[in-house]
Amino acid sequence: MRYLFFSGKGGVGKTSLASATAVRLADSGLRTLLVTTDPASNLGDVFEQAIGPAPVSIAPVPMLDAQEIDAEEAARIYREKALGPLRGLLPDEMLRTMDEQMRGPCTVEIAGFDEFVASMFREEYDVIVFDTAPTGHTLRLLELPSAWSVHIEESAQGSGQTCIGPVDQLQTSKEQYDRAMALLKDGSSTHFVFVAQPEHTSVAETLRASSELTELGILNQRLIVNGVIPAEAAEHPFFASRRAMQLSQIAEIARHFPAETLEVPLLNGEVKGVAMLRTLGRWVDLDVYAIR
Amino acid sequence: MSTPSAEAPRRFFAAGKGGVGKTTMAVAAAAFHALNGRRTLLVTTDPAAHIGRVLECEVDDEPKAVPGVAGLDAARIDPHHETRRYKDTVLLDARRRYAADTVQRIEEELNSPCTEEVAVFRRFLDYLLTDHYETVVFDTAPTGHTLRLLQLPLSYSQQIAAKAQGGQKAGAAEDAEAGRMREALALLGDAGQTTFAFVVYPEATPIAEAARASEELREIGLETSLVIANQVLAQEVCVHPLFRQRYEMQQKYLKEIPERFPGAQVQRVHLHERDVIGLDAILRVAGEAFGG
Repeated sequence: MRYLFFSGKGGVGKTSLASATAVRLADSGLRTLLVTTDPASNLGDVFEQAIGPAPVSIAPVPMLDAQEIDAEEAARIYREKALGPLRGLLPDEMLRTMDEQMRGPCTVEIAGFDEFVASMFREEYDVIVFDTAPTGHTLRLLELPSAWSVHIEESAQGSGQTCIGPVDQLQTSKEQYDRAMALLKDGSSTHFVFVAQPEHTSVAETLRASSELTELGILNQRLIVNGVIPAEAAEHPFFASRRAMQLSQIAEIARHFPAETLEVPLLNGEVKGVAMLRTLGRWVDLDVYAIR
Repeated sequence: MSTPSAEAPRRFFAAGKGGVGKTTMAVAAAAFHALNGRRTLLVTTDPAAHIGRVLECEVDDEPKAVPGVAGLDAARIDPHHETRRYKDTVLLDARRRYAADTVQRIEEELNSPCTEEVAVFRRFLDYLLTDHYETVVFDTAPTGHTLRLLQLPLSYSQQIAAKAQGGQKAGAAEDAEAGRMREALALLGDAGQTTFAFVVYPEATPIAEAARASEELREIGLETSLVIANQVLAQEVCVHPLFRQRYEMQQKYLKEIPERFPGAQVQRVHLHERDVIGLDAILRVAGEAFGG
């Protein structure tokens, strides 16, 4: 089984590129699942068909399934499971406090990651493409001394409380977490694909996020620079000047990013429908992810 | 240019996800108000101190005059430094009060991403409530979750201690910050004094993400009064079909913005030929964003 995690700030084209890559992989004969946990990603709009929390087949792409995980909903279910049994036993003030603490980005990210892990062990696919990646922050929570796996064990003996609720509400076991973390670090099965725009802020953010993963021992990184103005569209001096700026940013990121990079041109509009995904997918070289 | 406008906000927050030009807009707002005769402080939480790059000057932990803009000071809050300081304070106190295993759980709870936001917000409070400046501009905004956490009857550190003890009620020592917090929330909720400005690109994902964050703030009584649509393409430079089509796409989303942010003023800032660096470029942006 192979895994691709797409990582990047909102609006850089992460979902479009993850979708185009998934279509390309499925077209090449691999059984492919595309998974999102990003509430803003809207795979349904991209594929122009309804997609829900369980994998559905994408009609025009025979080997492709897609799945939208609602991390907010997963977090809500955890909260309810964790707090329900305590109602009437603890003061309301305390319950309100615990409820709000479990509404934070921590719970949502980890609830989402818990769903990721469940998806990772599906046997029926050759490749799974995630259109969102856990951040260095989430992985550190899961990895380091106050790590998730340690946390689970300690919590099981102690208060029974973790960041997202009682231990027995987790759907994945400690063994699965450990296996998932090992897979994330294994370059022969997993790649993290950063998507950046050729602009100063995006380049700086991407290099920061990339070095966070490197510090965690995740070295299997790739980079797509998206939205490059094509030379032929840069005849007007305004865009010629912007293109020159973009090229200097591409040179800058290529100098510092630890692996191969791929450039994808700016397209004429939003990426919607399988035909347009196939057009975009032509720019995605599968060698970049070492998948054939 | 020297009469302070009665409508100028006392506090201005540039809100939105990273990479859409929040820092640029915060710098533009600060320069605009300073040049209109208001004593202004610009506060950044950006670890890369992007503000220094934009204004071509050094930004320190203490407010320092920005060369070339009379009446403007800038200061930096280092989120990592504040988080460390806050954790140390909480743990020092916890070691005096609780058993070792509780202290260890508190330490783990403090690894939540909420801690950084809370720590930064406590530092925010100093600048938010200062009498020394007429206008204070922040290049980031607290999320609804953080503000709700801080409104709970227990302070953040008390909440964490209570949770680490498995739901036991923490010592109800009156937090000295509670009064300042109430004052801050009153100021933030007063649309006549505080402006929350969301910065977006005229594209689907950035608008959807900003609308969700704005709705979360509205639920706790904080209204978004300004939306800045950034990087709008000027029609006259869009001669190539690629850019003509992107122009049409942007126009469609520009029409959507007022529906997604009811009651907010919408201002357009055009895509510029070069990165917005230096005072001249900043003032051009300020003219578009705040010039009426």
